[in-house]
Amino acid sequence: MFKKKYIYLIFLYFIMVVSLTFGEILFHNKNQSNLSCISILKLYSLKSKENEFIDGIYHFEMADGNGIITINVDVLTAKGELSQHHVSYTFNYTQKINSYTLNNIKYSSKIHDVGDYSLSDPILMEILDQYIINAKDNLTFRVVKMKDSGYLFYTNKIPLMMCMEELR
Amino acid sequence: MPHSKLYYSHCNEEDQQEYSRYITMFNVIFNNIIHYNAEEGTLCRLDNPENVLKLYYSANRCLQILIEAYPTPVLQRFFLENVWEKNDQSATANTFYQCISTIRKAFSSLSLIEDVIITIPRKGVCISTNISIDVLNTNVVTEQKKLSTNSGGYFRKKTFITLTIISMIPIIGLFYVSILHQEKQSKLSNIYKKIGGYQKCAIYIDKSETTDMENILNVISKQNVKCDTKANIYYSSMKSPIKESAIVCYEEKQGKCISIYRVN
Repeated sequence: MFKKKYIYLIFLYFIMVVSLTFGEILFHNKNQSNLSCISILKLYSLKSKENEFIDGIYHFEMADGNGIITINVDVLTAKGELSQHHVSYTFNYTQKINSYTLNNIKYSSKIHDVGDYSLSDPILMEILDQYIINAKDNLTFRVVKMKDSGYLFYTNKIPLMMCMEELR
Repeated sequence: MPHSKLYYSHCNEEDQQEYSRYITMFNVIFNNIIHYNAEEGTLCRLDNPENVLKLYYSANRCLQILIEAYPTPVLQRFFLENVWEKNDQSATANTFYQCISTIRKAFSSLSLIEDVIITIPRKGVCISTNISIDVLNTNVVTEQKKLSTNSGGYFRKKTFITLTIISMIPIIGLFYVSILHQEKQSKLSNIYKKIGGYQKCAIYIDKSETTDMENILNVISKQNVKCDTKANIYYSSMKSPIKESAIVCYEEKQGKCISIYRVN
């Protein structure tokens, strides 16, 4: 009797693990693995007399664990220096619920105008540095997929951008 | 066997009820070969569990009393009172002896050669002390009995329950995962609430926000956001350090949005 009980229990656990794994594969990855979206970014600071800004386009292509980000931005510093930045990164990513962690980020191309692009506002500079010009090896976005629209990309708790899925 | 005192005519009704409850609970093995189920009133050989003899009610009650009293003899009067008169039935000495005879025949037909029930003059009847009696735990015997005599039905029922549970697990698992997945996808309207409009723009703020319209209009006007076409503006902010986010989504541009981020 006891032996049979153990066999039933082991079988039960096996079924549970298989079904949960199967469910995760079925529901989790199916809708979130592929993403192609574009976001127009306008970032500016009030501290620097309203003329310090980052203005441009952020483009994501993510599928099957790999992806590319293409960023084209204009940066105007408080001193009035304007520079243009065209940056592409390749990466692979891991996904946990709605968080995408971008790993092994490598420049695929990086072009920027000569000149000083140091922004006086530290928060703006951090965004420019971390999310645009010098993306670190590990970059984490909290990404919330919305039922009725695209994706909300969160940094520092509030949405940095809305990224709409492109029609294919 | 602890309840000998119950077999004398002076025992009270409460004792009899207690005895009655007790007696229906046990299962007995005679001479390590015959299994008696007091509750069902059945006798069978352990080595041939398919062949089950069922005692009629009076015989079963008599055998129960004998087992309970073992090895003390029980008076005929006690049987008559507790088996028949208690149930408003009339019985004679002859009825009683027929009952004892039935029990003897039952044991005999199960090939228990020794005389199980013996008569002691002026003292009554009792189970022979040459017969070994083992009273077993009800559950154990019931399980053994079910395994041996009715194993097909027992296992069918158990297998059915087990298979039902096992088949339910993946369904519950998939349901659980799908619910989780649904929860992961929230609507913008779950985060934002509409607070008003400006020209053709509908303005939404984060549900935890307490900002006023003027501040939001200030943010969008500085970025030359046009509200002459239909658009939804979603605003949220953080107090320290002050950061503001306004996301402007134009309906006619197939949901294209401009993300405005302002720090102060």
